[in-house]
Amino acid sequence: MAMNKKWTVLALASMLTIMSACSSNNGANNGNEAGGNKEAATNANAGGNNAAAPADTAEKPDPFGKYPETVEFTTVRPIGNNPQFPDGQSYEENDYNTFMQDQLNVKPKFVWTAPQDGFAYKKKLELAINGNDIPDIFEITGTPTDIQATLKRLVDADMIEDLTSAYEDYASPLVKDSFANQGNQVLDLFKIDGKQYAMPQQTSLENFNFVWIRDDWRKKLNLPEPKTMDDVLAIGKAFKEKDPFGGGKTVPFAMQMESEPAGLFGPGFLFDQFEAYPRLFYKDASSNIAYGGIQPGIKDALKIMSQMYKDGLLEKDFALKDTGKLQELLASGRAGIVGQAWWGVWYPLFMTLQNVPDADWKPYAIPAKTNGKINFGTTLPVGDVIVVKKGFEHPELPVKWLNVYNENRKGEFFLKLSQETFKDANDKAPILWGLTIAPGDEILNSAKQIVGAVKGEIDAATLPFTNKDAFNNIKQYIDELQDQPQAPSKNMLQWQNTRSWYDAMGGASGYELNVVYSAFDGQTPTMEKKLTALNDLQMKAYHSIIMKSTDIDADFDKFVSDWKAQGGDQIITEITEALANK
Amino acid sequence: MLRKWSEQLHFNLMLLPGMLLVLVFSVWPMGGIILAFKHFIPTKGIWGSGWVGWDNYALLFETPVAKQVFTNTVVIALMKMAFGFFIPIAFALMLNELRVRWFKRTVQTVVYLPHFLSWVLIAGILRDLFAVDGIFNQLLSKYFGVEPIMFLGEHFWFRTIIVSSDIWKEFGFGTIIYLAALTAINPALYEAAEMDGASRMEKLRYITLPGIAATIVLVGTLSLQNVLNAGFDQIFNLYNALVYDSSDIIDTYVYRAGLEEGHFEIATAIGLMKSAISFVLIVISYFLASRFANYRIF
Repeated sequence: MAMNKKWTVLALASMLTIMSACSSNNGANNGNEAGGNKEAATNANAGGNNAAAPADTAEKPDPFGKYPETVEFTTVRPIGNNPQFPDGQSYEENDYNTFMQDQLNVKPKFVWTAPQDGFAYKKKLELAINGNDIPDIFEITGTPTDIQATLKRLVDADMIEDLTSAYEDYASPLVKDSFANQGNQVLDLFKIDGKQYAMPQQTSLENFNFVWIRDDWRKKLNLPEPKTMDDVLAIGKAFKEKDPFGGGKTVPFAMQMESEPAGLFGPGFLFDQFEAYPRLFYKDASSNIAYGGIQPGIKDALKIMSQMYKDGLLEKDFALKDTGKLQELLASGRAGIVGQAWWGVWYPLFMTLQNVPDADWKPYAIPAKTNGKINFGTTLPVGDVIVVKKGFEHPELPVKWLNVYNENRKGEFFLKLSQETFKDANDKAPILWGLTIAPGDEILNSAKQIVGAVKGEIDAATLPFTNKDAFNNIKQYIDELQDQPQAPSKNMLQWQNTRSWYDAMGGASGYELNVVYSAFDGQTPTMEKKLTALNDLQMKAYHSIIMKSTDIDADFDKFVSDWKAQGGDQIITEITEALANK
Repeated sequence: MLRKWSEQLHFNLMLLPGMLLVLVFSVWPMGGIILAFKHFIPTKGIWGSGWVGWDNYALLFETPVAKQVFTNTVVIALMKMAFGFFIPIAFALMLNELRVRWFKRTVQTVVYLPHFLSWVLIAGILRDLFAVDGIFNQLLSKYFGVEPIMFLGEHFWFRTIIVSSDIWKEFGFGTIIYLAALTAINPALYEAAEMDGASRMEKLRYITLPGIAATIVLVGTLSLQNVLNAGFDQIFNLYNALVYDSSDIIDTYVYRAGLEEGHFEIATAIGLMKSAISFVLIVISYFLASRFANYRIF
């Protein structure tokens, strides 16, 4: 028990490191023209404008134009719990704000700040809105539905500016391209009567499901690399028969569906094969709202899983396993194949290597048999939004701010700043302030660049600053691997970078993606009342179909009709109405 | 009167911190139960959210699982109450007959120990013990040739394990109460019975049992209030999707609906209903206890 706890703490600690690495890595982007070059261009651009006559900015909208006179604006912001600043700095006076002032000649004045935790910021903002005491520029936090509701109130009360023309005229090409990359769906979420009232955050898609295989076992048994799901199942069967762990203790597929059918150790990669998304309400081919969990594709996936269960590829008491139990399997080195996201090797797969130094996990992106693509169901990658108070003189200011922020967020300067502030202590104040607007394929494209650079097709010097670290590690790993094969556990960091960036995302970037977005992220009255019970019903049905069913078709049909009758149909009708009324 | 007050002042002062704690942690938060009749919106807070009357309760009884969850709760709780009632009595009587004092003391302590363990811990141990490749199944297949049973995945076994592990954990505690009651019986009665030639069974029947009857009735009636408490920590740490049908109780449902899905008002509504029913049961059991066992608080 004490041991376990220690590992958990370690794992969490390393996870945190990765998270911060990820958040800075999130930056990577859009081919060579992005990154360093462009940043330099921006600086030059801003500098040039500074030298040029101020009249220039007034005539032609310049996304990076510097204001002739310092523009001060009042604002508020959500903060961490115990912000600690480097000496002499504060939310108003810090290196980041100085940089912004250099670039745009703008200066934020913070009316108040409140912790993000426990809704403190949200509550305070709500008070400010109700008391008609809002700052010039502010951020609205919450779920998309929450934000939409707040936005609607602000617009009805005529409290905020229409940003349509500010966005059209001032958004930088990078920002516009990023939104366009996802069909402007994220922008559209915050349009009311065709007018853009908020600038939203948009993050890159990344949580595709990969099949991770104990590659040292695969090699030992002389099996080819899997190209299709059938290959994966064949490898699973071989693991069962040849028992590479020994003592009959190999677990070919370490899998669970305890609460969510996706996520850590989930069977998401199997559902993707049949374009089935167990928890998603989405628009189907004929633009009707459909629920993924009751589609025939699910039944096909369940049939495979039921066969896997019969063949002993899944554990006998698979339904009783949670992620904690499966981590024990990983740590003891008994697991052969698991479903994980691309970063799985950072957590929790590295656990195997701590006890089995020769182990090697390798990810495979398996395109679906149905459409030959990598399928992926997800909610829209949206976060907070920024709005402008009615009557504020420069409604384009936040657009420009976000231009500069997003142009630089992959650059060395921002990365160093954020490392300076985030490093070591969690309560150091994050001074960077802005919303990330990333194209959906940003991470995939970064991976493409890194793979290209490793293969020598792209000059490594042109890589964005944030990707250089990954590149160096991968290069080192691959070069060393060619000379003298070494256990991954000896070169953990190099191995992790290679498996996640090079093999997983690099592999996936070679296929066409089919991303299915949720059509509705809010809650309808019936969802509120019955979704818990419906989700329970779904999990019960899935489990008993896999473990007990003798007639899967009949049992699945029964589940579908139960689901519809117990509120599912009602929910779909409500969502359809809610979307029609928007 | 005044003299009396000043004499009692230091007692009142000593009572004060305790009363303050009760006020701050038990009485004041009770205001939150109004949530049961509101539609909770986090940004508006408990006071700011709008009233919805009995809607939360209507919703509760509309959900198809409500009836099942309620039945499960009562069935599991009654099973626990029934077994948990007789076993400590029987065990205390058996211990009482032991003449070797150190052995009696040791047993008493050992069976009492599990009471102090947390369910999280015990559930972890149980899950390993009763796993398909766990020690229990290994023994069964080795000595009886039984196919491995998925104990925690089958309705019958799951409930059996729930009830028996609960009794294993708690019967030591009950036993102590009865042992205490047994020491209160006047030894002279036993000596007199001995003189009259009573056998051991007769002494048990005519002296010991009547001697602790009041305690038995008291413990029995007081346990009535637990009809709706089937043991959240225990079941929550052991259950899974396969046995929801037989093991999902009010508390676990409230947890999933209330906390995981963020419907605090529903959780509050169910909690309030549970408290109300428990309150009625406590009144009844207090009434019964005072009637049959002469036990009075007020």
